[in-house]
Amino acid sequence: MNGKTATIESFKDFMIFIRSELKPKGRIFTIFNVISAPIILLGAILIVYRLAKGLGWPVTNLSQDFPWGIWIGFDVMTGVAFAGGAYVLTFVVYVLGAKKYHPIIRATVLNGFLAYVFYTGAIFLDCGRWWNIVNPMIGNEFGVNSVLFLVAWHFLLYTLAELVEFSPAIAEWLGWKKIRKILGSLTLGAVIFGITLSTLHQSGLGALVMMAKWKIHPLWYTEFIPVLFFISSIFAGLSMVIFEGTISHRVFSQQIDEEHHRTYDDILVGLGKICAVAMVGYFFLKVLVFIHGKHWSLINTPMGYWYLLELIGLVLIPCLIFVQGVKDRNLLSIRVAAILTMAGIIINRLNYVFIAYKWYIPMSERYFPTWIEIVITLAIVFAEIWVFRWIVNRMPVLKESPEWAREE
Amino acid sequence: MNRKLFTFIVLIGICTYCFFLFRETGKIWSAEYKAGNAVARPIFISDTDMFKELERPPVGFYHDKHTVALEKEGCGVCHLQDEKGRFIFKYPKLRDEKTRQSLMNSYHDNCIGCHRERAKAGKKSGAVTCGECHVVKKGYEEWLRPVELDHYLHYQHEKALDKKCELCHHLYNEEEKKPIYKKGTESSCRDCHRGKEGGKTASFRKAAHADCINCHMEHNREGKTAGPSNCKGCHVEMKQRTISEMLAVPRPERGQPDKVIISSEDARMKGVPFDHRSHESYTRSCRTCHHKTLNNCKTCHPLKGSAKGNKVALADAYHRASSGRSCVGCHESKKSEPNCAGCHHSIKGALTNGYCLVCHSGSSREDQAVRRLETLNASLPEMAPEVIDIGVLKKKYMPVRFPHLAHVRKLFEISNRNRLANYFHADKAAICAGCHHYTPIEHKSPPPFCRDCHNVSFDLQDLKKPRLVAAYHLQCINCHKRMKLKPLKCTDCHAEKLMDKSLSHKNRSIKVR
Amino acid sequence: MDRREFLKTIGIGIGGVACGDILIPSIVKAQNAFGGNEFFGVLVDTTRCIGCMRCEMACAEAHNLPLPDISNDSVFEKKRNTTETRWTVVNRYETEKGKIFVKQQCMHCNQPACVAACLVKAMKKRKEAHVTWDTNCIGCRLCMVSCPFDMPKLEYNSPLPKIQKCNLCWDRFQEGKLPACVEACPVEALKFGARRDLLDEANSRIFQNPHNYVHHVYGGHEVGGTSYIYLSAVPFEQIGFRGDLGTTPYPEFTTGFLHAVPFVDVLWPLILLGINRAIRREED
Repeated sequence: MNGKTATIESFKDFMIFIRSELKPKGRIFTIFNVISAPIILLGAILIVYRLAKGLGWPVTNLSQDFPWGIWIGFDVMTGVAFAGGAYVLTFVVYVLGAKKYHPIIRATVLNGFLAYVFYTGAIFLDCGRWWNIVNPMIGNEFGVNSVLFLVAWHFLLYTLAELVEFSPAIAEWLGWKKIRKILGSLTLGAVIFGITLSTLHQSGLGALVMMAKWKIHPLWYTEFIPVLFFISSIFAGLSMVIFEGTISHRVFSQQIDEEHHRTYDDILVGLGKICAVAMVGYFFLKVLVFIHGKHWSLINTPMGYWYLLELIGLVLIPCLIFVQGVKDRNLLSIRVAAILTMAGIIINRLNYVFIAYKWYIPMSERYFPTWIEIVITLAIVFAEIWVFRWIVNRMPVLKESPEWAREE
Repeated sequence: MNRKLFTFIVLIGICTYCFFLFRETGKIWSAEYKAGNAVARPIFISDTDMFKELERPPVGFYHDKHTVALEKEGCGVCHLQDEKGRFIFKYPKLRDEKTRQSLMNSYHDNCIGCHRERAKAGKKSGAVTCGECHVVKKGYEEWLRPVELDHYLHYQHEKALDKKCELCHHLYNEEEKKPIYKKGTESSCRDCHRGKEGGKTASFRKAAHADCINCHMEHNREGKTAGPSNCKGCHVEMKQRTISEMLAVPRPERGQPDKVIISSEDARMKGVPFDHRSHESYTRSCRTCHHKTLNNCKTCHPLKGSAKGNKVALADAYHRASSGRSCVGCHESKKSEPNCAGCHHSIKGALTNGYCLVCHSGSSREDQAVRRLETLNASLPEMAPEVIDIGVLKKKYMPVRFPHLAHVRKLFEISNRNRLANYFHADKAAICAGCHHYTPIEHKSPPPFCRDCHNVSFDLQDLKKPRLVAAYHLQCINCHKRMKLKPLKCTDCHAEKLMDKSLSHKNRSIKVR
Repeated sequence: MDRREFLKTIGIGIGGVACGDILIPSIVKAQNAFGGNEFFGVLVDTTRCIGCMRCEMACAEAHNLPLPDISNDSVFEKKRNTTETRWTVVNRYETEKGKIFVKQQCMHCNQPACVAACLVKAMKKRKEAHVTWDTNCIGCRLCMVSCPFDMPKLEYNSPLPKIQKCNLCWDRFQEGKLPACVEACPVEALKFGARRDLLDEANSRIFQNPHNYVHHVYGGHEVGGTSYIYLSAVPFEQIGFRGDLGTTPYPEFTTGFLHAVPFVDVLWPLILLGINRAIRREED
């Protein structure tokens, strides 16, 4: 491929190249494809249906009591937390200069970038008046007092910053040497910019629910929600990196060179270490908030058990497993811990959106996603994986950069 | 960290969680006892005068449960008897313990001792460990209603005891150290037997329990009709009698006057004629007005007040509106009765010239009340129109046909029937003012229209005054509500417009835009 | 009734209707009196309300909503919430002081959470008190999540949904008319006026009838004050109000976070760059 890229000079050549790249590579009828393709197709149809029909039943189970469902709770809140790995790793690699993690940085950034692109799509679907979605950007009134305004802008800018961070890979793929150089020099700026934006919008997502003071169960509501969201996004993101890395190392095994395969264990252990530290911090912050909240009596209620499951079962225990995994260099433990952590994050974010939100409403009137909501969510996730796979198969994400780009 | 230790920690975590998960939920105090079940309510033993601060929660003692369980053995199991065989209702038996420790021991020995003995003998028994008796119980400290020996009960006793007052009433002869009886000195028990425990005279509680229960039990043994001798018989089930029931009760005989003129030598106002006899039937017992004594008011409340009367001056004693004992206070409270509240809820007792003279006439006016009634009846239809059509505002309904004269008649009738009302509504204007407020009635000309003061439109500057539509509705509805008349529907007053179907809201509501 | 009397009553009726509607001078005067800086408001005296639901009917008529059926009392058997097509509802509560009717609608907070939540200022707090909704809304529903009274409602079943709630009759107000519900209330349980005056009036009613009211004006200080204020004969918790909302204006729950934003935005890059440079130099 390296030889081929060097020959692109005219626009016509470029188009030919793109066309050739657009063709699928590899086997078409894999199990994953067979499952995901129909779902994506169905999802696309349902999206049209949703736009024509509006948000109400039968499309979603949203109600006046539960304005937010899994499209916000899972796609946006959780998805963004999972994409947090990108800013943590770019911080570690570009700011702190820990070269050890360099091999996985591009995959992580790409993953983060795609997550943001697709989750913005989810917001688009979730907005009742989606045709107005550009209003906060084009200044059809800037609601500068709104947390959501801040989150929206930081989303947009961060997506751009990630694009810049990832752009050298695109340039390498297209063989644009000069542009690659310019883009490469932008990376550190984009990284610093991106980390700043991430800090604010990760915590901003938490700040969104700050005004739902009495609607959120007192065990979850605290003025530290933004801080908790930010810290949890660190280990949520890294757990996702571990999880995603584990899968892509199997799937794209042939793209990865010996050297990388050898150091990968080290990288996982390192990530596990960061996770464990962040989780210890998070756990004690949670405990501190709990003690200050003086909600002892609430522990012995159904919501209290749910809280303990989240705090002990899905934060403390995975944290201990991380510690153990790091000590024993046991990759299985680290992976199990990562999965548990992710489950914990999903539950935590869903709690804020519709589980611990209005906990006092009887079960029969509570929100539960419809199959359409779930299918569309799955379709979005699968579509993201497809795009991810397409890019990984073509651009130097997991594989080495071409010779000419390597020296810097 | 080795694997075993790690697994151990994880297991402990899971166990802790499961512990919380499977513990019984919803174990809340509020569900434990249901109100109304008076028998199952305890007397709290706290003896704070001796124990001061309690180490454990006070014991909730179920007296009636014990009475039932020990029916065969009798009261003697717990209470001592004097030489005549009368019970002294003290517990623990002697109750002359002087220290905290000894009183506590006494309680414990008596209660637990008895429980142990009975348990040994194989009988039904009670608790023997600390936690079984000292349990936190909340929410029904006040279940024992104080017993009031009202006129009715007093009369029942009089009848049953053949007017032998000396059986209950007595004085105390210091020298002979025994109770004596002197006709004409009868007073409330509380006059001597005060609320305090441990004085020279037995406390009211002690005296009442000893005399009442012993006497009741004696009568019971002799097979006569007798009052209750358990807790709830007097403290829970005793019925509060209504005024109308009390009316049938003959007045108590204590040499009280029928009619007096209440006056004081140096007072500036003239005396007030007072019908003592008729007031007796409006009160539960003598204590309603007289305190513990049966003295007249100025004995303790001289013109300038005295320490004995708690510094309350005579005028204040009669006029204090917040007191249930004063004339004004009691009369004020009558205003909230349904028959009166209709008008009186909106009339805020503004004093008018000559208002004081209604009572302070200085002379007795024996038949004045009766005379007034006649004059009212005579002058009634003179200027009150029979029916008024109120149609200024109507939109959806026909004009309201307001049966004015029927209302006037009804109010006059209520007022005439009630002696108190009759006395104060000397002028018919007083009754008319229930609706025609602030406007003169006494002239021969009719009062102004409602709309003369109440604007049809809304005035943002004048929030006090309701606009016309609200004035009508508030006046009518509030009065009907306070007088506990049947709830009104719109159509009870307003006939629905029939000619324009489209205006009727019933028809419109079907049409959904 | 003969023909002449009939015509007379009709005439008077029409006159009454006309009089009730015209309020322009009154509102203008009241505005001038406070230099236009005073919020308007509505005082709801629940001890006066008779549950006739005229307000619901008037509201529906004024805003072209489906008309409610107010012909019988069966609606009171269930507690209702406002909906996208019913901006105000009257509920009945059985209390120790008998049946109490309570009108519910947007409270028009002095510092509304929904306005602070909106990222396109579609929710606006007018300087006269009205909290209104505009069509540049993107439908994110953060206002619904934030509102302490759960008042904004989305038309879920429309592909082009709007947020619907009581707007204190903003259109009618600009024409110089009273809010429809206030005008319709036959017992003046609803009173429209300058908020400050209404608070005085509410307190004076409590003072004059201390036994008829609980000594609290709901909305006087709740969530920083609301334009709808309530009087009640029983504790407000018993008639469906939350007593634990506190007096902090809801937007203040996010101000802490928002104030941190500029600092993070400025200081974070500098710190990060500093760390980066420092480490690099060590490596060199």
